[in-house]
Amino acid sequence: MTRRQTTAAILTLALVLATSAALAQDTGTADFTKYVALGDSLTAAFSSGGLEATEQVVSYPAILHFQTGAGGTFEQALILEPGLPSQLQLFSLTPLIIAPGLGMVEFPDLTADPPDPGSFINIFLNRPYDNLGIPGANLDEALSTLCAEFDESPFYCVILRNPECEPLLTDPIGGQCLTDQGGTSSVEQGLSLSPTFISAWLGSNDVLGAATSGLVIEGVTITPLDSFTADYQQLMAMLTASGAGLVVANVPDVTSIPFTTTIPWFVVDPATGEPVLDSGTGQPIGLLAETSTGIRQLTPADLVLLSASEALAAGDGIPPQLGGSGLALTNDLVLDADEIAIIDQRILDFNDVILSEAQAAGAAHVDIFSFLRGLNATGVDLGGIQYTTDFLSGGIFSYDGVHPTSFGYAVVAQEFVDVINESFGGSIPPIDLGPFVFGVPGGIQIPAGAVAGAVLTLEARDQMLKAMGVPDVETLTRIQQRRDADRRPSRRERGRRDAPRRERPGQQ
Amino acid sequence: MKVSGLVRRKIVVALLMAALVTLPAQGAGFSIYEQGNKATGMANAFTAQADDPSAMFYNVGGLAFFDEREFMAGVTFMFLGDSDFKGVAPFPGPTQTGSQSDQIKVPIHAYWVEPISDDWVFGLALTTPFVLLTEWDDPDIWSGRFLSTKAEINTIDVNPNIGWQVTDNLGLGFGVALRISDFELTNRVPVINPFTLMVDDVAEAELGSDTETDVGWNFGVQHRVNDRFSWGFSYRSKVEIEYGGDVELTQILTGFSEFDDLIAATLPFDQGVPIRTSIEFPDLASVGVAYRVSPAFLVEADINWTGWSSFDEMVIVSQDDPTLSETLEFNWDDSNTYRAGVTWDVRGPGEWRFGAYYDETPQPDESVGPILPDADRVGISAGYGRPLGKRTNLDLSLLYIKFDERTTTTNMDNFNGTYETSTILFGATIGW
Repeated sequence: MTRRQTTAAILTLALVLATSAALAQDTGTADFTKYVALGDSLTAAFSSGGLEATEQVVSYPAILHFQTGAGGTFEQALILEPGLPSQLQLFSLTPLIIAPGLGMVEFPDLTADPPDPGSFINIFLNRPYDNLGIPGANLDEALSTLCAEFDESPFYCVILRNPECEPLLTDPIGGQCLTDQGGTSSVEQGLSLSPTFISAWLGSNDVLGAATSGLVIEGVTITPLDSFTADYQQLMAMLTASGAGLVVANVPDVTSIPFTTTIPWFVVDPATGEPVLDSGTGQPIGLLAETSTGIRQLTPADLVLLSASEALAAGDGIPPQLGGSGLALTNDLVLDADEIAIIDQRILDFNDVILSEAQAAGAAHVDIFSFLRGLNATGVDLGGIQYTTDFLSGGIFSYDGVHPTSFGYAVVAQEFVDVINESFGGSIPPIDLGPFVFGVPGGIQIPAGAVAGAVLTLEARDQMLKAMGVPDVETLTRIQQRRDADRRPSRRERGRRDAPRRERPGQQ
Repeated sequence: MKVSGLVRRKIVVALLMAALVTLPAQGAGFSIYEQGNKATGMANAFTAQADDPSAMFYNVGGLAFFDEREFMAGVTFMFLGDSDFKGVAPFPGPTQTGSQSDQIKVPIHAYWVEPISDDWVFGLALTTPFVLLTEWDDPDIWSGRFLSTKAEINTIDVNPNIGWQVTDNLGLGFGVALRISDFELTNRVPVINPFTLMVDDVAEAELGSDTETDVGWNFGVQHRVNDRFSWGFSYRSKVEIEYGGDVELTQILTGFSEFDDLIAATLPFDQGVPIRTSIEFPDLASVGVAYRVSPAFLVEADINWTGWSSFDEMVIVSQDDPTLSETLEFNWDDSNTYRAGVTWDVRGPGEWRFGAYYDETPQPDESVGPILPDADRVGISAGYGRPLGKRTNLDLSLLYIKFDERTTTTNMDNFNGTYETSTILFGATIGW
């Protein structure tokens, strides 16, 4: 599909949504005259490992804006196919291959006359976007990271406005800033628009990095509670000072998403899909993996990440007598029970902070944590169609196992609508899910060619970590090893270091 | 270890659950009260009069008053399909519409009256008391296709009766009915296509029942008080029919060959998966009073009560795989129909009839859906009858039924929208 055709298809979808909520709706005491959204990849509508306009036009803030019928445009940093990074696609079922699609975005050409935005069709907006969700932003970064600090994530220079930065002119990931000062954070840019209503969904990236990298490193992949609390108080102080109506959302359980729950902890017979049972105990056989407490067999209390699929396909984690390599899955491919306990407790602690701060500020509160738990339990049934949170066959989560599909984002948006209606006494009408279920004219392209790999390639995983602002696994592993070296090594840890480690070819 | 095995298993479970689809949400809509075209001409307000062989349906008490052998046979052409749908948010939403395809259903009726003594009359009736046919146009894009693309119910009652003329004015009747029935339900099977993460039709599922039977009974009283006034009471019992049958799946290709192959390898296509279920047809009680206003005019008013509240759930049992069994909730209410009709004897051999009725729907909002979208209805009828020869007569009738426009936002399958239906029936009966 040409860029123009893609734009047309995307704008058609946007139009369908717009016409179904064309009239100003009763939003109670909430004023949506100027609505601004703060957040991270979930707010930006990051999906299948990339940010792309098909999902962006139906980000939950865009849908919320349409549903309130407030009128005016809702500006977002739209990026055309194949998305940034190139979105994951399913290339084949047998073997199961999910990998980034081919192609690359067209970067803006500022030398053209008039300047050509390339695939970044809205890049020349001369004011901050209304949707300031930045993939990779944790709470502290949303408050303080400027466009100039493009190392944090490639998206700061795409989404944050700064006349001193010429985005994407020379360096496709960063951009070139003419000064190392200037620019403002996403929260500051949002407030500069004088919003009458603000949504803020932050905190997920303060714990998600630990789940996706498989390594829980305090201050690096998981944020300490005291700094989170101080930052959240600062956030709420800034938002309440604006006088705008507020809704905040909390942190979902990142150990209950397809990325962490799809692959089971035991060895599976590929022919039947059933666990292989130990001939003596009759129980499933746990995969072999490196954990916080050394190399051991996994148990039901542990989780295997989707990123382990390449290693599993090579036989790692599986005993030789069952056809495996006998090598343990590396620490970054699993979350052991101890790591899960830290993550789970941290999420509860973060969510306690978010709730109490919301109550103190009089902000509406969307309990996404409970909402995801409900989706995991019962899914969504529409006219005979069952949507579940299952990977690939559920329709709610996308190919990265972390972010929703457009349909998933619509369901999240409905949750926001319900909470806003209840908290502000409005009657914003229900979102029309028909276009999300049945699609819009434009169609889906079958990806051409295939990329060698298996399920979720490590390349895809690394690309996603980078997009989400998490340091790459090798860096994280070095950090963790340095920290471990500072402590007195235990016998078990010595055993772990002596264990054979599989060479990973091609890793940078 | 491959993830594909897990995916496959999950797809299979999802698929097979969807294949066992909802069985008919039924309505007053498929109770056919039009079993004689003299009666239909006056909106079927006939319990008090019941003076032709169709009395065996409307009020078997009237059978008692026959003193000669008579036959009667007729058909009703039901012009179905004038039924439209428009979605409301959240699903399927206002961008989705649908309309039923035009169909003609032809319920028949036939009666034989045979007096056997001064006071006793035997009769045999053949009627089609329950008929349903809803079929949606453009099934490939009909947003309700995963609930229903076509639903059909057929019944025939073979109903021998006895009438006893107790006095010159009072008749009692009693009969038993063998109900013969089958039904068919077709819908599409949805699965999320992993290549698009959107729903695709992967199969058409046709649930077809065997032809099954069970027995009911009926009773009636007709009191012709004097030349001007008569009244009647009629009761037809419930009949519960147990059906065997099977679901047959036919694959629909999505164009993604790997996915199609996976589906083909995991679903039992082109073979019947046996199921059992049952439908409890409701009982029906009628009361009517008729009054001859003048030599030319007779007026009757009736109330029918239909016991649909017994229809609260339907249990579908899959013999081969208990995980595919399910119970469907309906929660129907008893409903009333109010009828009024007049006969007008014009100069000459013929008689005109006119009538109107109001039919309450037994279907609560949460059951309103593509299988049968019912609503309160108004019917207006006109009819004409005249002798054709010494012993033969002809009755013609025309009935127009307008359903209230009905919107549901609480459908139990989360399929919400507005339905609007109307139906025309044309019938002809010959008696001799």
